[in-house]
Amino acid sequence: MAADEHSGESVTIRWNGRRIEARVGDDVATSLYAAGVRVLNYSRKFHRPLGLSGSFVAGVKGQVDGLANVRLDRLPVRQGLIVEAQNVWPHPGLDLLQLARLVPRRWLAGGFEHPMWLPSGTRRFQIWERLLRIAAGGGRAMAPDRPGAVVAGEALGVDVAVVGGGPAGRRAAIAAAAAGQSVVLISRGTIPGAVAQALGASLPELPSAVRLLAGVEAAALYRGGRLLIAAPFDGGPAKLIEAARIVLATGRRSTPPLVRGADLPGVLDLPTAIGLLKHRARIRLERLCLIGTGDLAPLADRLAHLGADVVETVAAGSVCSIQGGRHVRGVLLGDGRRFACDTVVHAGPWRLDPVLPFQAAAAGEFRLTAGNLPPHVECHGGAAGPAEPVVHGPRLDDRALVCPCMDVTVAEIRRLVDAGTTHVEELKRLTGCGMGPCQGVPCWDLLAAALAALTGRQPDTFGHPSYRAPRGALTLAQAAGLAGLVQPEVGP
Amino acid sequence: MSAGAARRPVAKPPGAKAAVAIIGGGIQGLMLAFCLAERGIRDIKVFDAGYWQGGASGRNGTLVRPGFSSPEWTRLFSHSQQLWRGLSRRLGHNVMYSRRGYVTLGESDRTAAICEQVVRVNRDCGVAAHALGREELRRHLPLLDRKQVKAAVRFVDGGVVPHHAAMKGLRAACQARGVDLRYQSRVTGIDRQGDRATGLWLGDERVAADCIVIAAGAHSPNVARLAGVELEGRPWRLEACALEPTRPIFDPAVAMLDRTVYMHQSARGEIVGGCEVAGDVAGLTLASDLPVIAHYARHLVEIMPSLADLRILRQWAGHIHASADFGPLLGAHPDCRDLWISAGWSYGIAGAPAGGDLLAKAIATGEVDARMAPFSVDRKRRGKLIEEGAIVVSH
Repeated sequence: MAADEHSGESVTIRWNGRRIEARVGDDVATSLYAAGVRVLNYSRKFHRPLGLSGSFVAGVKGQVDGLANVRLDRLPVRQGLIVEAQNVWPHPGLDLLQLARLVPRRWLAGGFEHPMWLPSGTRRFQIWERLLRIAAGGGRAMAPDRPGAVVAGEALGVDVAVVGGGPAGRRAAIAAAAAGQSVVLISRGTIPGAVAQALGASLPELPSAVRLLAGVEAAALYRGGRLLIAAPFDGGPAKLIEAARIVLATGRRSTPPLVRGADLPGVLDLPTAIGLLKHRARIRLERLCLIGTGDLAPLADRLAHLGADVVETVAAGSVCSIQGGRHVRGVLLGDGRRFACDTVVHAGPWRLDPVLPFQAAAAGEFRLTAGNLPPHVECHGGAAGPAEPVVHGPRLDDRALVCPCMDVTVAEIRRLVDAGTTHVEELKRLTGCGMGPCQGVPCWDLLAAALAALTGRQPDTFGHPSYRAPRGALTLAQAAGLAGLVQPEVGP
Repeated sequence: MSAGAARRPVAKPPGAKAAVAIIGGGIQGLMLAFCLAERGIRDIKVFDAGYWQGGASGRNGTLVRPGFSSPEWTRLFSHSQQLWRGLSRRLGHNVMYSRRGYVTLGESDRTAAICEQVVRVNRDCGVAAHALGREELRRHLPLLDRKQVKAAVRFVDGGVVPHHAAMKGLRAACQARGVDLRYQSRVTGIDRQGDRATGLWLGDERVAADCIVIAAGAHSPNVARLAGVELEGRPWRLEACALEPTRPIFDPAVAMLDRTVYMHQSARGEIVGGCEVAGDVAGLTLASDLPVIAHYARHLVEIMPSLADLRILRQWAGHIHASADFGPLLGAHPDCRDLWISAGWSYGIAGAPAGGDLLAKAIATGEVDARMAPFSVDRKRRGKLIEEGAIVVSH
């Protein structure tokens, strides 16, 4: 496809003051990876290095032109763009927050921020709280005079809304259009289905009758799935879509193993690795270890064909830990074998994206729980399941992270379970698990797996906390543009 | 006998007995249990149908303030504010009450007049509340488009109390004092003998109680019906959202009277707040909806344009029990002896320490404190509603 090709035009961006050459058409995170920058951000409490992963959103958050929390994997490069690491103080060259890594992790477990030697009602508490707010992991505050305005939204009424531009989504859109129905297709990727295509799937061409919203997040479903909100990554007008039928073709996502080091920069999910190989032909993913489920040999061939140097292929369940300091150095298996590698790519276990189905079906007075999908909402393709179980190596490791963005370890969950807490909503409130930028995807799957291993119960007996809208996909300006497009629903 | 009890089978083996059984393990229930335990009362049991922090006590905006435009509200809530300051030491757990100040903004002649009244009433009640000049307002809220503001009042003693810390401290302090806390334990019936409440049911388990307190938030009217009595008010759904975190942008908690917007920046760096949209859904669903975040976003972009590019991390819904005048219903139920009420809270986290303190005093000593008396449960029936104009709920 023409859109797939780069113009080859080169631009210069700045990362922490350093000049980086990038190619027009690439995003910032990819460009930085190509320039050898693995660490893009740091976790909130332990200040662990995080980078591009495809799994943990905190790893691709940066400060761009005075704005914090910009997703670098969705920001196209442009000449003169100034990008900085955000969770650093006082500046990237001298980051004193790194001292947090010396603090015993147990001291920073959930609740660490309210110790009794700094009781509220005192002056020293106010100083402490101020420090907490500075260190909370976000970027610098924007200037008070930064301009801002409402971005007017757009209301759409269609017969069919399809979420996902892979083969299943395209087939559903094409069939509906052929039947004379009005169709909108929403895709995160700027080229819908590019990853499936890179893996060898053939993509049926979308007819012009299908309205394509590319580079857009399906941010939320409201009112039993009758209202779909779609938000362009570039801050453009949000769409309020009322569709008679909704097709969720969101595919499956690879879930990292619940082992120590799975959060290290250099651990990538398969689509992210494909994205790097596809968009930057010059990147050779050196010494790549492929882990996953099912038959991995064809996938390894495919990655090699795309330019990866695949040194090992192992079942995800046999991985004991992923080793490294600031990025991946090797993989340790349960049988004691160790491979040196620079990149770990996981392709399975494959899980479903639970967010939109949950929101379409959620109900409850004491707790939102997912029921059956309403009849007008369907899951197609990989999104129809089934999901594969999360793997955690031969033994659940206390040092594995259940929620890397918020620094929740297996050890912390274990202590709470030992004290009698197994309710996922209470665990969320006690630890902050899933309250970071990923909003529980994939950490609540990892939490359920940890709980299952710790209690001997099945993972699906724990449920998960509510998957809340709009998962960081809407700016205030975009959301403000939707006011007035929808009337409040007055209850009985 | 109540209708609820009539359906029950004859009691199984004599169940537990409580001196005080509290229905609702939110901040009102736990604070009351703690205050009763502090007064030496034993055998306190707390039952909650949901999980810990599952109700409004884990979903609110966490703003606390001492003053309002009516002396009744101001006396009760300024007492509460005093108690918040010392609560960490009392509990032995840090509740993270942050005394960052609380700013109320008026953007019309109507609300500017309310702001003036607030200053006057609070001065009479001995509460520090100052009208802010333009320069002071800039210092406290640099991001505000001040052209739109006609009046601003700052409470020195206001601020925020993160519920995760407050609820954790209260739960631990209650447990340390032997209070029996039972979550996911739904009360299904309340027994009456004549005009007295005598016990309650959890499925087929009966718990005898000398005294029963309903502190069940939005569920309180339904729970009261189990005892065969009415409690005025209705469930009211509120929604809030959190923005992605940044370093400190502004300190005080903020309420905008004209926009019914409230917000603050949490210790986690997230700007947390919400607003009201007239006609928003009543009833008891926790599913969130679009109008509230869209209108809240519009208000913020209008009055604090520099926030426009921040992203909304998550939104959620919760319920309050809205009484006729949005004030708490605090005290003995007039139609049933030994049945007490702590409900109707729309500023529940701000008022909880006072609610717990004064209701515990009434239960333990029979003495109704003058600060609590105006909030009697039957004030609507008696035509004694309290007019309060400085609250951020739509009328």
